[in-house]
Amino acid sequence: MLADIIYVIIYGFVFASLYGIMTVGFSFICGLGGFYDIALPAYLMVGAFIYVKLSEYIGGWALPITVISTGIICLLHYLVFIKRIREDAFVVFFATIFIALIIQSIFEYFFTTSYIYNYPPLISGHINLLGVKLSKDLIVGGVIGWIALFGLRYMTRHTNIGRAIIAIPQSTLGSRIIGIDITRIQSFVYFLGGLLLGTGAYFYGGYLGVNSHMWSHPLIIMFTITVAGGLGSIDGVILATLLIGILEVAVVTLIDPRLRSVVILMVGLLILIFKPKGFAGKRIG
Amino acid sequence: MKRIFLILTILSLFLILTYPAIAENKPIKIGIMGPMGDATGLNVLRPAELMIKKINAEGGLLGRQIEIVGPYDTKWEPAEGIRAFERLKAAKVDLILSGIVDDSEAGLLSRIAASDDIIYFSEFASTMTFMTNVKKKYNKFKNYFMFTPIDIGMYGCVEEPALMLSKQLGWKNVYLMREDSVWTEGVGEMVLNETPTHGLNVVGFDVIPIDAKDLTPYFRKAEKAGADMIYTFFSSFGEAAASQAWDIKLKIPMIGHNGVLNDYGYWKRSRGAWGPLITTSKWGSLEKHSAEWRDFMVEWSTSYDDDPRTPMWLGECTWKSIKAYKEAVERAGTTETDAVIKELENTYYPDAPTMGGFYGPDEGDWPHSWCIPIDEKARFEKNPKRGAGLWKPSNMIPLTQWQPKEIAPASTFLLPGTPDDYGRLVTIWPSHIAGGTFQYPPYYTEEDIKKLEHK
Repeated sequence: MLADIIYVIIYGFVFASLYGIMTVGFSFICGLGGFYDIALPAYLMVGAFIYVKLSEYIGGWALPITVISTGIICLLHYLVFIKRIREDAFVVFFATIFIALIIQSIFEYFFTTSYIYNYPPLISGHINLLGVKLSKDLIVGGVIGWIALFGLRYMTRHTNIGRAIIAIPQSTLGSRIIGIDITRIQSFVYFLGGLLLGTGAYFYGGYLGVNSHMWSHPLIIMFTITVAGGLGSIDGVILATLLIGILEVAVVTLIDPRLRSVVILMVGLLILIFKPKGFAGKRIG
Repeated sequence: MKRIFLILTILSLFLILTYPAIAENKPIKIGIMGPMGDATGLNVLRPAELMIKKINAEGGLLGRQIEIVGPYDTKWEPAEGIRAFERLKAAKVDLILSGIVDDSEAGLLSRIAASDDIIYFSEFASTMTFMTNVKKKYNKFKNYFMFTPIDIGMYGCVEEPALMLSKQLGWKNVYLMREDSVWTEGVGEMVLNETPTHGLNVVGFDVIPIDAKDLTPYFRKAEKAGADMIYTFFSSFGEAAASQAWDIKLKIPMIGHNGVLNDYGYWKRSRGAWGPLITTSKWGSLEKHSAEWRDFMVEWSTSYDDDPRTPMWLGECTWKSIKAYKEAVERAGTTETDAVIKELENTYYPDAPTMGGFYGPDEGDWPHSWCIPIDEKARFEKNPKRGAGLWKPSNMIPLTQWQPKEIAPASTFLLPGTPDDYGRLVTIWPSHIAGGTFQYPPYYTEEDIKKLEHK
């Protein structure tokens, strides 16, 4: 039992950081705009496929290109689609569902639904941590995740752009009055969110494999963490990723792996009902 | 009025006189249905395309060209399966090649039974109860043929090599992992009930949702249970299981069915994740197979640029289907359903990758199931003796392992265009087509092997 608990804590921390990388951009975007952009997890899948294909030719150098290109794709997604419809949360919600499904269908066409693509980790090998075997690559992912989360936390407190990201969800009108360019901030956050998604795509895809349906579980995770953490709150995201990461590994390890998604969705549902602002954020709509 | 009557009479006479010629020249229609969005459906379509093209180029079947109707995409939904079947029926096809999975086929059985002018070839399903229909209500279900061995065979082809390895290496503890779908229910029960009677211990089991992406928690459970080997009955996530096993350096050999794992592209998609995986596949060690099958593999792999370029489960079943239908029609001299069915009941392919054939309603419990003679010597005859009590469901499904070039036997056949450093798919069971033996992956230390083999 003790071995299981150690396993849950260690893997919980690692998963939490990966989920954190994937979710923090999503949370900022939703917080800034007051809408849910469901297409973002699909760009995680796009990033993972970019890495799969590029790494065949240029090996590990595919990672920086994946990260930057996912950032650019998310920025374009904002400029082409979201900027036009951002005033209506319902339109954004439905439009981004359509975009995600279109992306999925295109990837199904080119890569089918049955094949799973994999790639070797950039850092191979495992280490044994308190009896728990952990891949070195996943540990690096975990460390990068936590650095990114706390780096963003620092940015939101000590830089103008970071303060603007926090200010806009509090009062969009007030932000405009004091001269914050909302389009510029939103573009930046989409680009930043894309960079983080691209990073998460490499680690997530490397662990679970890449296929044309791989975005559905991250959608559940990102949605639940954002709801639980509170829109646009970096502290909320950190707290919620830890909760969800550890809870997920605990359910899988101690109860039954089949209950993984059910438990996460139940957490999201309970928070929506009993604490709709999440741990530290703003309510949607 | 007289003139109109005269014209109609002449026209009628013309039609009556020319009808046989018209009928003889009309194409034979073969309908194709299955989940076309993925490798499953393509494993029906591609071999059918290649073989029909060849038959047509050689003058057709009984002088008639063969026309493909469809393919109709059934996705993975029973309702789409019904819709596709109805469309093919409306198109008056002579034969249906179906790549739908058992869950969907269950909803089609009554429709198949009610369509006695169509012969239905099931390429994917293996549920035993479907075939009891043929035995119990032969006249209703006589147009239904299953090219995949039924549950008993699916179980046997895992259990027999496991017993062989147990004898050779001392492995005793079995952990069962099966995906949560109809086709694994029967075999899962057999593992739980029959494997302990063969001297092996079933130390645990999991029924895994078909949308599972992370298999590592199940591997961990198997490790904790002290398993020496894992029996796998996977189709949808077999590939994820294989690469994750490689990723976490799983030290428990996996034996069984593993979906799309063993098509040609797996080595590239997984970047050489081979691991301790022994899985059913029909194109391993091609140097041991018949020239006919080997040539067909070469033709398939060079005809398409994208996967699937070699068969997963259904690809070989479809190959056998077209071959069996062509030969049955030629022997019968007609495409008339009853006559063709009678000839199909005389099909037997001792040199097919999955050895077997069909028999009729009076020769045993499993008419129209893919069966082999019980007498091991008779299995290799082209026309083994038929009769009640002489046959059983085929378990002669090859088990293979991906091995890197350095480890695989040098004689392993390479498909044209295969890069030299590409993996080799080596058949390790059954012995008559085995090209090599099970190999431990490099991450097994000598200590690991010693520990595993001396349990």
